[in-house]
Amino acid sequence: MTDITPYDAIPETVVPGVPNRPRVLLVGTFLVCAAVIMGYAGLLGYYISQRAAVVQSGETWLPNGTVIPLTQPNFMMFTLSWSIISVLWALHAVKRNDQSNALIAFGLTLLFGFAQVVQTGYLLTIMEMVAAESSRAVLIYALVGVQLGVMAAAMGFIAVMALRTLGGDYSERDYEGVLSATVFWIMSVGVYTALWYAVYITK
Amino acid sequence: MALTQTRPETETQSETEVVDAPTTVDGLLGSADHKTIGRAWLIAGSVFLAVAAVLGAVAGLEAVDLGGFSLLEDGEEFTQVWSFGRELLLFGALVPMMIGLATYLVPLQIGAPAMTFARGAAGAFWTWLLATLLLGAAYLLNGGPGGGQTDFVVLWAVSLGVMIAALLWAMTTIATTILTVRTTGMTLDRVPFTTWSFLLFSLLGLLSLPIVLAELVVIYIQVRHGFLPLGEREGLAALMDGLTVGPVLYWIAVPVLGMAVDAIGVHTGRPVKAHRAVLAAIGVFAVLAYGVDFVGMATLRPIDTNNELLPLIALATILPVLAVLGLAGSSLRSGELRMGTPLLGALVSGLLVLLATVVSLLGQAEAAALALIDLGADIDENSLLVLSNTTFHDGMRGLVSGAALVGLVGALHHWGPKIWGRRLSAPLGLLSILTAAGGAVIWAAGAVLAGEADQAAYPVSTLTGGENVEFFNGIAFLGLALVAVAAVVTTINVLGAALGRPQRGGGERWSGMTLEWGTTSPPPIGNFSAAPVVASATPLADIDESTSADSPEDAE
Repeated sequence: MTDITPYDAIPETVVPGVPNRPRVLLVGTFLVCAAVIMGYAGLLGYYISQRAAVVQSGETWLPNGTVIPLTQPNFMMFTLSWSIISVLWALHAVKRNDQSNALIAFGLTLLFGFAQVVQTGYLLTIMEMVAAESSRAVLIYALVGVQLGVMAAAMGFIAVMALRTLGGDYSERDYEGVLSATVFWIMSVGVYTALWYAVYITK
Repeated sequence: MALTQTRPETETQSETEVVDAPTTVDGLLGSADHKTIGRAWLIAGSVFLAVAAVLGAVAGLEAVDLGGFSLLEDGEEFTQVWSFGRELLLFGALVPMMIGLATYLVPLQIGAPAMTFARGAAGAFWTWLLATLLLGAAYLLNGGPGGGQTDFVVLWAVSLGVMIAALLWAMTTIATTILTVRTTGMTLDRVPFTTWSFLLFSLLGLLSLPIVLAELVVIYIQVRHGFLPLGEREGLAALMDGLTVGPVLYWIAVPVLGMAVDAIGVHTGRPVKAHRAVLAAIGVFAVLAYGVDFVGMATLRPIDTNNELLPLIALATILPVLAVLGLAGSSLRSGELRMGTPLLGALVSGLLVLLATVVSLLGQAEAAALALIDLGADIDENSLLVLSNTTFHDGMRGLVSGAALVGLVGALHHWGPKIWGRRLSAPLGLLSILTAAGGAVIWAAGAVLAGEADQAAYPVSTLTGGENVEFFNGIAFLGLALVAVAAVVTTINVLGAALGRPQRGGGERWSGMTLEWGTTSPPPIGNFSAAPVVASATPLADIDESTSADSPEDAE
């Protein structure tokens, strides 16, 4: 005898399909990365166009008395390059169920990130650039500030994933969260690389 | 064991559906159910739609000479009303309503029990709502681009930025849902047109809106640190004008096409054939729409300046729209037309998108002529049609906004029974569609003709165009007034459906072949009693076929 369910046209005799949930967090992370990259590219594009207009008029771009040394920016680039290795080490360790190595690598990655933040603070101090005196200085501060914001978000993401790994959420069976944090971290290093070249190197 | 062998012709309400509806404040505030959040987006967006459209009409009236009569005190106030109306129309009404429909429909159409990042989807709505209210407060407290209070100009930049960030947040959840939690068998080339267009809409938003955010960061720091004196702030509104023209030109038209094709398939009884071809055409349209922005970005030139690539892109954009409408036309020819507000809305909105793509060619006439002159063509440079930095772009905004509004009205009538368990008022819907479409065309005609008469792009303190500009501005105002009427009627209609009780038999399922019609109206939490398995782009038609194939055996 056939039992009719008037509200549901989906037959229950069909073996329920397992909803595909392939890498929800990873896909979301990629989308957020794309948005961050577009936003930062827009900000950099505005900076570059403003700078080009000033340079074309024969003026110098940097505000009077401002000097951007190369040592700190290059050292930060060097530090963050190492952080890519450490974050990949963490991912590799999680995939191998090696929790102690994973936690060391997570800690090292966070240390590199923290070092970059501190170094940026020091760099801004020795640049002696007063925001209220020049719109160019404000623009540079905006670029640096947004980069620091992205780095802070990446550090937060890594920290949460480290804690979840410590709690046993991630292992060789499921390491999607760690992979997502790795992708976001590498994107944040890319953002710094753009800042490093467009502002610190090109000046 | 429950087995469905026949499709319900009409649906009635069960008790659980009523419980499912957010009838209390805590039910709304604490819910992460995509249906509750989708309804909340739709209701809030429709309220802001009415406000935005009325503000637009008030600003339009100021551009008409009424013998000294004026609703607004001065040019500064005009700038405030004009920019608030435009920002609210886009980021407070049309885009949020699209997101509301997407939030409600996407999980149902792809056979998912919920949105991914469900709490995130709820957070996006509440963040956007708070930011929109703050934006209104900033304008009321003399902030905004033409404002005289620096603190509230800062509040304007921050609240607009947060609004856009919240919209991006919502789009991330929508795109992730479509990309990751489709049910078994629901490959991307089988997703309904509406879902596909919402995916493209979200991706385009994610690639375009962050640039607006970056501009707002610059504005914020410039105002915050005193680098934009009071007298120079009107330029901010012009900047926002440029930003809203660029990314939005066709961006919000992408879902209009998807919703239209789905509705045409249902209301002709013939799902549109060549499913993949239609998906591809909508995809090409989205890529070309983004191409317009991308060319502007890549060359660091605003899109309304001469750029030799833009005429070609503008011309190419017409083709996918024609392809979509042509393929949908096969259903119109071979199907059984059930002309009602959903089908009318679908047809009119599609035609408005087509009209917008054709009219946009006018904006590229100067660039095309200059390119031809470079190639040796004998064209008098003094006779060129120059529409850069004129109200032409306001006319384009009118057409695309009108298409979006008509598309939304049609979609709400189509999916309203699914969303609220009751039909929206058909007479009000008809009034909305006719006034919105007519208003959009008249608004666009007035603004384009005023632009041709050299009326500078808004906001301006004085009329700067030629001798007929007053007349053309009057035409544009008439169109804006009609759009305002349509918006208010739509709001009344939506609120009537949202606040009313579900009707017995109000959960009309038309003859939809996509998954959202395979569950109750409104659906329960979890959407489906069992995860559906899909084998084609019209899964319910497959069930119908298997039912009819089984029938002789049942008879035996």
